[in-house]
Amino acid sequence: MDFLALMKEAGFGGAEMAGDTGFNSSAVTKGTMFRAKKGIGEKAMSVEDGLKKYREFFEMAYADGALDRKMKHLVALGASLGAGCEP
Amino acid sequence: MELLLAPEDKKKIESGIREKYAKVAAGPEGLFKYPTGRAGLEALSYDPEILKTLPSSVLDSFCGVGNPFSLGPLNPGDAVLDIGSGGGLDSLVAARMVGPGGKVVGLDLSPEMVTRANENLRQTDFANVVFQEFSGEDLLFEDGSFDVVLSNGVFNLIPGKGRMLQEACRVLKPGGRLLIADQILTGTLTKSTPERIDSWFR
Repeated sequence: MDFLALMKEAGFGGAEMAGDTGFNSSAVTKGTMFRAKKGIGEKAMSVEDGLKKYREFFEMAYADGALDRKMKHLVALGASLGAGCEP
Repeated sequence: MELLLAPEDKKKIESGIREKYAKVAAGPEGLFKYPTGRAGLEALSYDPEILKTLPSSVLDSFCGVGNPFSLGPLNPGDAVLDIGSGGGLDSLVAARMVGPGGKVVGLDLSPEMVTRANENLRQTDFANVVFQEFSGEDLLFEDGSFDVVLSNGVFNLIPGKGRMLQEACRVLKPGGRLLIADQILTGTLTKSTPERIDSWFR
Protein backbone atom coordinates (compact mmCIF):
# COMPACT_ATOMS: atom_id res chain seq x y z
CA MET A 1 0.00 0.00 0.00
CA ASP A 2 1.41 3.39 -0.82
CA PHE A 3 1.79 6.23 1.65
CA LEU A 4 -1.24 8.19 0.42
CA ALA A 5 -3.45 5.14 0.86
CA LEU A 6 -2.07 4.69 4.39
CA MET A 7 -2.90 8.32 5.17
CA LYS A 8 -6.48 7.85 4.00
CA GLU A 9 -6.83 4.61 5.92
CA ALA A 10 -5.58 6.36 9.06
CA GLY A 11 -8.54 8.76 8.83
CA PHE A 12 -7.06 11.71 6.95
CA GLY A 13 -9.04 13.52 4.30
CA GLY A 14 -7.71 15.26 1.20
CA ALA A 15 -4.39 13.40 1.40
CA GLU A 16 -2.20 14.49 -1.47
CA MET A 17 1.35 14.73 -2.71
CA ALA A 18 2.32 18.37 -2.96
CA GLY A 19 5.44 18.38 -5.09
CA ASP A 20 9.10 17.34 -5.02
CA THR A 21 11.58 18.92 -2.63
CA GLY A 22 14.59 18.41 -4.88
CA PHE A 23 16.44 16.72 -1.99
CA ASN A 24 16.98 13.05 -2.81
CA SER A 25 18.79 10.86 -0.31
CA SER A 26 19.69 8.22 -2.90
CA ALA A 27 19.39 7.39 -6.59
CA VAL A 28 16.20 5.43 -5.95
CA THR A 29 14.40 7.83 -3.61
CA LYS A 30 12.90 11.26 -4.11
CA GLY A 31 12.11 14.04 -1.65
CA THR A 32 8.35 14.56 -1.70
CA MET A 33 5.84 16.71 0.15
CA PHE A 34 2.61 15.26 1.54
CA ARG A 35 -0.29 17.00 3.14
CA ALA A 36 -3.63 15.98 4.60
CA LYS A 37 -6.30 17.15 6.99
CA LYS A 38 -8.08 15.34 9.75
CA GLY A 39 -11.56 15.10 8.25
CA ILE A 40 -14.21 17.21 9.87
CA GLY A 41 -17.35 15.88 8.21
CA GLU A 42 -16.25 12.32 7.71
CA LYS A 43 -17.67 10.98 10.91
CA ALA A 44 -20.61 13.42 10.92
CA MET A 45 -24.13 12.20 11.67
CA SER A 46 -26.20 10.71 8.85
CA VAL A 47 -29.47 12.47 7.88
CA GLU A 48 -31.45 9.65 9.50
CA ASP A 49 -29.52 9.99 12.77
CA GLY A 50 -30.04 13.76 12.67
CA LEU A 51 -33.82 13.41 12.26
CA LYS A 52 -33.92 10.79 15.00
CA LYS A 53 -32.08 13.15 17.38
CA TYR A 54 -34.50 15.97 16.47
CA ARG A 55 -37.51 13.78 17.18
CA GLU A 56 -36.00 12.81 20.54
CA PHE A 57 -35.51 16.47 21.40
CA PHE A 58 -39.07 17.32 20.28
CA GLU A 59 -40.61 14.49 22.32
CA MET A 60 -38.58 15.44 25.38
CA ALA A 61 -39.60 19.09 25.11
CA TYR A 62 -43.34 18.27 24.86
CA ALA A 63 -43.36 15.49 27.43
CA ASP A 64 -45.76 15.92 30.35
CA GLY A 65 -44.06 17.80 33.17
CA ALA A 66 -44.99 20.88 35.21
CA LEU A 67 -47.17 21.68 32.19
CA ASP A 68 -48.93 18.85 30.43
CA ARG A 69 -48.42 18.06 26.77
CA LYS A 70 -51.60 19.80 25.59
CA MET A 71 -50.77 23.01 27.50
CA LYS A 72 -47.22 23.04 26.02
CA HIS A 73 -48.66 22.76 22.50
CA LEU A 74 -51.07 25.63 23.18
CA VAL A 75 -48.22 27.79 24.56
CA ALA A 76 -46.17 26.96 21.44
CA LEU A 77 -49.10 27.89 19.21
CA GLY A 78 -49.55 31.23 20.99
CA ALA A 79 -45.83 31.97 20.89
CA SER A 80 -45.52 31.19 17.19
CA LEU A 81 -48.58 33.32 16.33
CA GLY A 82 -47.20 36.14 18.47
CA ALA A 83 -43.83 35.89 16.69
CA GLY A 84 -45.52 35.90 13.28
CA CYS A 85 -44.45 32.33 12.43
CA GLU A 86 -46.65 29.79 10.78
CA PRO A 87 -47.66 27.49 13.60
CA MET B 1 5.26 -0.59 1.50
CA GLU B 2 3.87 -1.59 4.87
CA LEU B 3 6.18 -4.44 5.75
CA LEU B 4 5.25 -6.98 8.39
CA LEU B 5 8.16 -6.98 10.80
CA ALA B 6 8.93 -9.13 13.80
CA PRO B 7 9.64 -7.27 17.07
CA GLU B 8 13.34 -8.14 16.83
CA ASP B 9 13.46 -6.68 13.32
CA LYS B 10 11.92 -3.45 14.61
CA LYS B 11 14.51 -3.38 17.40
CA LYS B 12 17.27 -3.88 14.83
CA ILE B 13 15.97 -1.01 12.73
CA GLU B 14 15.60 1.24 15.79
CA SER B 15 19.12 0.51 16.99
CA GLY B 16 20.43 1.19 13.48
CA ILE B 17 18.63 4.55 13.49
CA ARG B 18 19.97 5.40 16.96
CA GLU B 19 23.52 4.51 15.85
CA LYS B 20 23.36 6.70 12.76
CA TYR B 21 21.70 9.67 14.46
CA ALA B 22 24.10 9.62 17.39
CA LYS B 23 26.64 10.70 14.74
CA VAL B 24 24.26 13.12 13.03
CA ALA B 25 23.64 14.83 16.39
CA ALA B 26 27.28 15.97 16.46
CA GLY B 27 26.77 17.58 13.04
CA PRO B 28 25.11 16.39 9.83
CA GLU B 29 27.79 17.68 7.45
CA GLY B 30 28.91 14.99 5.02
CA LEU B 31 26.44 12.39 6.27
CA PHE B 32 23.70 13.07 3.69
CA LYS B 33 23.57 13.20 -0.11
CA TYR B 34 21.82 16.57 -0.08
CA PRO B 35 22.78 19.94 1.46
CA THR B 36 22.36 20.23 5.25
CA GLY B 37 22.57 23.10 7.72
CA ARG B 38 22.17 26.65 6.45
CA ALA B 39 22.78 25.62 2.80
CA GLY B 40 19.94 23.10 3.00
CA LEU B 41 17.58 25.60 4.62
CA GLU B 42 18.30 28.22 1.98
CA ALA B 43 17.90 25.72 -0.89
CA LEU B 44 14.51 24.71 0.54
CA SER B 45 13.41 28.36 0.82
CA TYR B 46 12.87 28.48 4.58
CA ASP B 47 11.75 31.99 5.54
CA PRO B 48 15.00 34.02 5.83
CA GLU B 49 13.33 36.40 8.31
CA ILE B 50 12.71 33.49 10.68
CA LEU B 51 16.16 31.92 10.11
CA LYS B 52 17.73 35.28 11.02
CA THR B 53 16.21 34.98 14.48
CA LEU B 54 17.85 31.59 15.20
CA PRO B 55 21.50 31.10 16.24
CA SER B 56 23.73 29.70 13.49
CA SER B 57 24.63 26.61 15.53
CA VAL B 58 20.90 25.79 15.48
CA LEU B 59 20.79 26.13 11.70
CA ASP B 60 23.88 23.89 11.41
CA SER B 61 21.99 20.91 12.84
CA PHE B 62 19.35 20.87 10.07
CA CYS B 63 19.20 17.73 7.91
CA GLY B 64 15.59 17.75 6.69
CA VAL B 65 14.61 16.58 3.22
CA GLY B 66 12.06 19.29 2.51
CA ASN B 67 10.30 22.34 3.89
CA PRO B 68 7.00 21.43 5.59
CA PHE B 69 6.20 25.15 5.98
CA SER B 70 6.11 25.48 2.18
CA LEU B 71 2.68 23.81 2.46
CA GLY B 72 1.34 26.86 4.25
CA PRO B 73 2.34 28.85 7.33
CA LEU B 74 1.28 27.85 10.83
CA ASN B 75 -1.17 30.07 12.67
CA PRO B 76 -0.42 32.04 15.84
CA GLY B 77 -1.58 30.01 18.83
CA ASP B 78 -1.30 26.60 17.09
CA ALA B 79 -0.23 23.54 19.07
CA VAL B 80 2.32 21.64 16.97
CA LEU B 81 3.75 18.12 17.15
CA ASP B 82 7.01 17.42 15.28
CA ILE B 83 7.52 13.67 14.78
CA GLY B 84 11.25 13.02 14.48
CA SER B 85 12.37 16.48 15.49
CA GLY B 86 16.11 15.74 15.23
CA GLY B 87 18.19 18.81 16.08
CA GLY B 88 14.95 20.73 16.50
CA LEU B 89 15.19 23.25 13.66
CA ASP B 90 11.64 22.69 12.36
CA SER B 91 10.23 22.80 15.91
CA LEU B 92 11.95 26.13 16.54
CA VAL B 93 10.77 27.57 13.21
CA ALA B 94 7.28 26.38 14.16
CA ALA B 95 7.63 28.01 17.59
CA ARG B 96 8.45 31.31 15.90
CA MET B 97 5.33 31.01 13.69
CA VAL B 98 2.88 30.03 16.46
CA GLY B 99 4.21 32.65 18.87
CA PRO B 100 4.06 32.63 22.67
CA GLY B 101 0.36 31.64 22.60
CA GLY B 102 1.16 28.37 20.82
CA LYS B 103 3.24 25.37 21.83
CA VAL B 104 5.53 22.87 20.15
CA VAL B 105 6.46 19.32 21.12
CA GLY B 106 9.33 17.61 19.30
CA LEU B 107 9.77 13.83 19.54
CA ASP B 108 12.82 11.83 18.51
CA LEU B 109 14.04 8.26 18.78
CA SER B 110 17.67 9.24 19.27
CA PRO B 111 18.66 10.42 22.77
CA GLU B 112 21.65 12.26 21.28
CA MET B 113 19.33 14.14 18.95
CA VAL B 114 17.04 15.11 21.84
CA THR B 115 20.10 16.37 23.73
CA ARG B 116 21.20 18.38 20.69
CA ALA B 117 17.69 19.81 20.27
CA ASN B 118 17.63 20.84 23.94
CA GLU B 119 21.04 22.50 23.56
CA ASN B 120 19.66 24.36 20.54
CA LEU B 121 16.54 25.30 22.48
CA ARG B 122 18.63 26.77 25.29
CA GLN B 123 20.19 29.17 22.79
CA THR B 124 16.78 30.65 22.06
CA ASP B 125 14.23 32.43 24.20
CA PHE B 126 11.32 30.04 23.61
CA ALA B 127 9.40 28.97 26.70
CA ASN B 128 6.80 26.91 24.86
CA VAL B 129 8.92 24.17 23.22
CA VAL B 130 9.76 20.74 24.65
CA PHE B 131 11.78 17.91 23.18
CA GLN B 132 11.13 14.34 24.30
CA GLU B 133 12.63 10.93 23.53
CA PHE B 134 10.12 8.67 21.82
CA SER B 135 10.12 5.19 20.32
CA GLY B 136 7.51 2.96 18.77
CA GLU B 137 4.33 4.34 17.27
CA ASP B 138 2.01 5.01 20.22
CA LEU B 139 1.75 8.69 21.18
CA LEU B 140 1.15 9.61 24.81
CA PHE B 141 -1.11 12.55 24.05
CA GLU B 142 -4.85 12.85 24.39
CA ASP B 143 -7.13 12.87 21.35
CA GLY B 144 -7.34 16.26 19.65
CA SER B 145 -4.27 17.77 21.33
CA PHE B 146 -2.68 19.43 18.27
CA ASP B 147 -3.52 21.75 15.38
CA VAL B 148 -0.59 20.62 13.26
CA VAL B 149 1.52 17.46 13.05
CA LEU B 150 4.66 17.88 11.01
CA SER B 151 7.45 15.51 10.10
CA ASN B 152 10.52 16.02 7.97
CA GLY B 153 12.39 13.03 6.54
CA VAL B 154 11.33 10.63 9.27
CA PHE B 155 8.31 8.56 8.23
CA ASN B 156 10.48 6.57 5.81
CA LEU B 157 12.40 5.30 8.86
CA ILE B 158 9.34 4.30 10.89
CA PRO B 159 8.55 0.59 10.58
CA GLY B 160 4.85 0.95 11.48
CA LYS B 161 3.88 3.79 9.15
CA GLY B 162 0.15 2.98 9.20
CA ARG B 163 0.01 2.88 12.98
CA MET B 164 2.05 6.10 13.27
CA LEU B 165 -0.36 7.85 10.86
CA GLN B 166 -3.38 6.64 12.86
CA GLU B 167 -1.80 8.05 15.99
CA ALA B 168 -1.02 11.35 14.24
CA CYS B 169 -4.66 11.55 13.18
CA ARG B 170 -5.90 10.73 16.68
CA VAL B 171 -3.90 13.49 18.40
CA LEU B 172 -4.95 16.09 15.81
CA LYS B 173 -8.00 18.26 16.39
CA PRO B 174 -10.76 17.95 13.77
CA GLY B 175 -9.58 19.98 10.79
CA GLY B 176 -5.98 19.73 12.03
CA ARG B 177 -3.21 19.53 9.43
CA LEU B 178 -0.59 16.89 8.68
CA LEU B 179 2.47 18.29 6.87
CA ILE B 180 5.14 15.83 5.78
CA ALA B 181 8.33 16.04 3.79
CA ASP B 182 9.90 12.68 3.07
CA GLN B 183 11.71 10.33 0.75
CA ILE B 184 9.70 8.00 -1.44
CA LEU B 185 11.03 5.11 -3.49
CA THR B 186 11.16 5.71 -7.21
CA GLY B 187 12.57 2.26 -7.97
CA THR B 188 10.89 -1.04 -7.26
CA LEU B 189 11.40 -3.12 -4.15
CA THR B 190 12.72 -6.51 -5.10
CA LYS B 191 14.89 -7.40 -2.16
CA SER B 192 13.96 -9.88 0.53
CA THR B 193 12.85 -8.65 3.93
CA PRO B 194 16.23 -9.29 5.67
CA GLU B 195 18.02 -7.32 2.95
CA ARG B 196 15.51 -4.51 3.26
CA ILE B 197 16.07 -4.34 7.01
CA ASP B 198 19.84 -4.20 6.50
CA SER B 199 19.50 -1.44 3.90
CA TRP B 200 16.87 0.57 5.82
CA PHE B 201 18.83 3.78 5.17
CA ARG B 202 19.15 4.36 1.49
